[in-house]
Amino acid sequence: MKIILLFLIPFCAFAKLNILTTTTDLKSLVQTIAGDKVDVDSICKGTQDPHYLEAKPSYSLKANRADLMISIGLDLEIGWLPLIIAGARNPEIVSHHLVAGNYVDTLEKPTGAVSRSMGDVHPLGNPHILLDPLNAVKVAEKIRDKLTEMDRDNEAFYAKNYTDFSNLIKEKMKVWEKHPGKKVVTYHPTLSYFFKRFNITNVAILEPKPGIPPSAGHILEVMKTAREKNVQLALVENFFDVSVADRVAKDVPGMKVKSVAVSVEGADGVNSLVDLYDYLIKEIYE
Amino acid sequence: MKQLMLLFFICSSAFAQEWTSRGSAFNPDIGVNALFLYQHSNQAPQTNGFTFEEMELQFTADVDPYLRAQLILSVERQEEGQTYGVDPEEAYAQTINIRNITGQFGKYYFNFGKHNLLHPHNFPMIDLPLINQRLFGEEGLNLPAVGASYLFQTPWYLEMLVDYGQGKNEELFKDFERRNQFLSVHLKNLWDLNPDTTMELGFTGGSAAENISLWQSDLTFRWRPMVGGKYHALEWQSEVMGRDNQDLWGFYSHLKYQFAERWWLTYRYDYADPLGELIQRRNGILVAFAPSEFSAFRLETDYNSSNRDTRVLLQMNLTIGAHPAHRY
Repeated sequence: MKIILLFLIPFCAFAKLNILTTTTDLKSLVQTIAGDKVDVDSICKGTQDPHYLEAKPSYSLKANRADLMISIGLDLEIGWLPLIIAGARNPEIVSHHLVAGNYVDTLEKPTGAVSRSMGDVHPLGNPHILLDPLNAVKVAEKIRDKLTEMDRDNEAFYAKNYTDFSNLIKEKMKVWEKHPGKKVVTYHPTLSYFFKRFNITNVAILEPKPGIPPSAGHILEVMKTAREKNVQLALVENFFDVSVADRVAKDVPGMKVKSVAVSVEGADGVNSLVDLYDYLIKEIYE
Repeated sequence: MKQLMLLFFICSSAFAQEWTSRGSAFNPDIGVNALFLYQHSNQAPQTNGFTFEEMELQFTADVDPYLRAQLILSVERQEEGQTYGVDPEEAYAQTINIRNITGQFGKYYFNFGKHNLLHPHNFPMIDLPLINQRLFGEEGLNLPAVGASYLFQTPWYLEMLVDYGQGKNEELFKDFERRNQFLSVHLKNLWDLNPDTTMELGFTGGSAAENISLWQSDLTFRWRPMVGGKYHALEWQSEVMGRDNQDLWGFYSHLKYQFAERWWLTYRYDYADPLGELIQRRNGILVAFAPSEFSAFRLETDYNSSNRDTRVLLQMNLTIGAHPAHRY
């Protein structure tokens, strides 16, 4: 009996926390803070649009085995996460569910009444919060606190990694903020937080309303605005088709079209949020 | 005195505001779905023209820390004439805090295969498959019942769903005036073949009073690529089911291809073999345009070889308010 107990103790003592995140950006933050002390997986992959995902039962199976769920909130995952959680039958992730959007100030929060005639608006504000490096630091702090609460043994490790990350962002900000600013066109208001932080102006959006594909009339308007404001770059989030932006670029002298990753693991070499910010700066300015 | 009144006013309005916001926070999510239909049939001209098919009012909320409830009221056209009736299509509560198990009670669609769980606005084609129609009627297998599902700890997704209920179903029970019992057990397996593709395989056995036994099996492949999945997807679903010693059996198989962001095309072959009656075979094709998640226009044409009926159907489907996501 003692032998069996001795055999079991090592497994219990070293059982890692199993964390499931909704996006690869959140997964990257967990990896930054917790390193190999936890197992972490993301439901949405870096090349997928996190607004629209199918709630595969296999995601519920992952959620069934998780100790902690981390999501963005702000209605980003409203179309699929409730089904995954209901299917998981795991009371742990009901009580241990960290919602990152609760800890940042959002942009583009509609004022006044909202209706679906405005497209896929988010009443609580733009949910692409982790594209601002300073928001990533705020969320990393909350992840550190949650991990510490659930795993006291590694408190110092999580605290050190958080401090290192926070310092790295401070250092990197000095480099990123040196860039002069730019005017761009995008497909969807995904990059609003990044643009605001780094003085980039989104002159026009190819979607006439969030989530609504471009109409011919709207494309003509975007062409006109881009010509008038001499916009030289169209960024298309890599889960959207670039053909509409290509059509606009034909009519705007000097305009380049780039399909860009907007999430960690959305392109080769983009393995962390810092990689993602570096990559976006490079795509915008080079 | 004025100051006292002002203080009272401030306090009471602050309280009222607090009360109102708290009250609305606990209100159920409310959604309405409406289906309008234009139909032209060469064998049943009395059904031709526009109809307001059905409206569903859906309320969803957590009851307490233990239960979540859903109520769906259906305002549906009666078989004869233009009158409408209101029915509780589904009204059930599910447990939310039991490890690996979901318990359920109320009135709901039994887990008898894939199609039986769907509401009309989510049917792959406009009509029910012939075999579902013949086995359970237009309203499907939907009874007051208790049920439970268990998620197994296997490397693939394996779930067992058991439902036991009592009620009336004019197709299923010969003595349909009496409240009859029905028990079904469904096994659902799902594998991720790769990040883009899943395969689901299900089996159901059912048993009812009057020595009725039923069986079912389903196989579904779904493909939606990780890159470009907003614009292209494919689903191939087949389901076969029957009753007793093959006195009624049939199947359907549909192939649905999403060829653009808001467009898809579906083909379905339908077969129902009722012993001693004419075998029914139907081919149908449907093209759908969904301007958003909340509206869809679907045009279908089908041909039923047993009565040589060719139909053209145009369905308009809209949703307002909150609408929970559909099952995978």
